[in-house]
Amino acid sequence: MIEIHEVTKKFQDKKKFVTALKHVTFTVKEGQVVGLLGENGAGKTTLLRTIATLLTPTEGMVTVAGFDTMKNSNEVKKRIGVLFGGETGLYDRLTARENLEYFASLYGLSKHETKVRIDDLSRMFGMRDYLNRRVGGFSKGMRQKVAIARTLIHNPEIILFDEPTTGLDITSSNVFRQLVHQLKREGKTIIFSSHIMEEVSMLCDSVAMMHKGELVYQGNLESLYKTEGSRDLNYIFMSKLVRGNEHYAS
Amino acid sequence: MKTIFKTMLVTSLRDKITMFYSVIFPVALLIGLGYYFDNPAYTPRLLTGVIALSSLFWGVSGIAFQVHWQRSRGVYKLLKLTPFPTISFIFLMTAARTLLGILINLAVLGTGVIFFDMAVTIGAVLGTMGMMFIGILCFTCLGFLISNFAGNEAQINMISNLFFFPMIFGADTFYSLKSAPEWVSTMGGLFPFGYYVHGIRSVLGISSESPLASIMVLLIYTAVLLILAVLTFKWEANANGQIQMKKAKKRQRAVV
Ligand SMILES: Nc1ncnc2c1ncn2[C@@H]1O[C@H](COP(=O)(O)OP(=O)(O)OP(=O)(O)O)[C@@H](O)[C@H]1O
Ligand SMILES: [Mg+2]
Repeated sequence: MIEIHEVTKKFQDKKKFVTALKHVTFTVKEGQVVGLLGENGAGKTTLLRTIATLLTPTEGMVTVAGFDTMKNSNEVKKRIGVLFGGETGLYDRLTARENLEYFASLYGLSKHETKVRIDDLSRMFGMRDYLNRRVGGFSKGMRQKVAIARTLIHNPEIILFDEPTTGLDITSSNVFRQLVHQLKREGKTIIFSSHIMEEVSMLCDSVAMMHKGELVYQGNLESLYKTEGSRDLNYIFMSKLVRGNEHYAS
Repeated sequence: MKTIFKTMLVTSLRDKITMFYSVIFPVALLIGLGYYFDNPAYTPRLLTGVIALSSLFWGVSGIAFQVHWQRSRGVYKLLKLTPFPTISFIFLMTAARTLLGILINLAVLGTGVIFFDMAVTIGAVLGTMGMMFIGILCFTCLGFLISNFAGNEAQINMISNLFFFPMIFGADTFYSLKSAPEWVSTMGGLFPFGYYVHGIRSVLGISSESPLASIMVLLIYTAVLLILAVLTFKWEANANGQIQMKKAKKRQRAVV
């Protein structure tokens, strides 16, 4: 469970303050898959980074599985897996297996746990053919699989993906989508940000929409469809944004 | 811990460019110049100069490129997502690189001993290893510092060269500075490299001066560079990302 309570995040950017999050409050229950939507600069990455303990909220607090992200950051880190889109953080000069072993040891996994986990993940992702090859020669999709395996190496309960399919072709995106389905079956809690509406409507139980740092909607996808009288998430998103802008203008 | 240390060793060993500058280049320089001059009185100076160069390239450029690469690939950011303390990570990385650097320098020393029949005692080798340890550590701190200021690889080269030229030519690395204008050695004296050259010479018994002064000066440089490197350390290379984000936002606004 993730509880975000009245979180405000301000950045100081050359004497100018930018408020990236404004009193954001919501809860994600265990086993939920939440899609995080919003324009560029809406605050999605900032929110994910705050949950992942990388940023300290200016106001408010975030708890993950009951642990405060600031006071008990190590407990939170053990339970969370994070993947920022476009940044795989893999060592080109190491093989896929060596990369995974390395990250496993950063999470303090034992040798045996590491081996079992790498076996499981490489089966799950169909990576066994290239597990012992150096990442430097991998295609984007292969890299992404290794990066996702890295994110899951310590078997986290909660997984955060920031624009995971940006820059991937259809095949690799589909691998990701299948994976989310599978993780959902395993009961993992997932939040991912995306600009691709069909991806969100396909994978998520609920959505959180952000606009200029504020949470403009959060809730079940089905009930959103009902209240808006449409199943077109793209349309709903745009109309929510327009309403958000009108709210700003008034 | 063991896996992490091993990873550091492996990634450094598989870095072909740095390996070239730190191993192949110095060894070839040593053999080539050694046979070219063919002067037993000059060989020791050549050997110590080449060892010092190897340490310098390994320490400064090697670490600067590695840190830059890790930072731009988000390795440090990822590290902050794990419970592993970053300080331990940097310590392990420095330790692994220093250890490899000593081994590489010993290989250069070995080449000198084998090709030019130089006599070295075990004591001298041990002393040299100690000196190499301090020197490489010092250069590694400088490499860290450079990587904190350089935005890309070209800038690393540029800033490193800014240090390399006065260091190498401002010290009596390969030739005496007796006939050079005084400002050259004054300038060289501002950098740690010359002290390292002298230190290596004295522990190898090539010069009669005591290594103590060199050790002291190098330790002071190491401490100062380390403090500066820690103070200026950046976790992420997000300065560019920031600008892009803003541009994207503006574009978006224009559309809506
Ligand atoms: N480190 C930082 N320093 C200063 N400002 C920042 C920083 N990180 C984010 N911001 C600002 O906070 C706001 C929200 O940024 P954020 O990256 O969270 O947006 P986003 O929703 O992820 O956008 P995108 O879809 O482009 O990824 C932006 O105005 C951004 O410029
Ligand atoms: Mg973002």
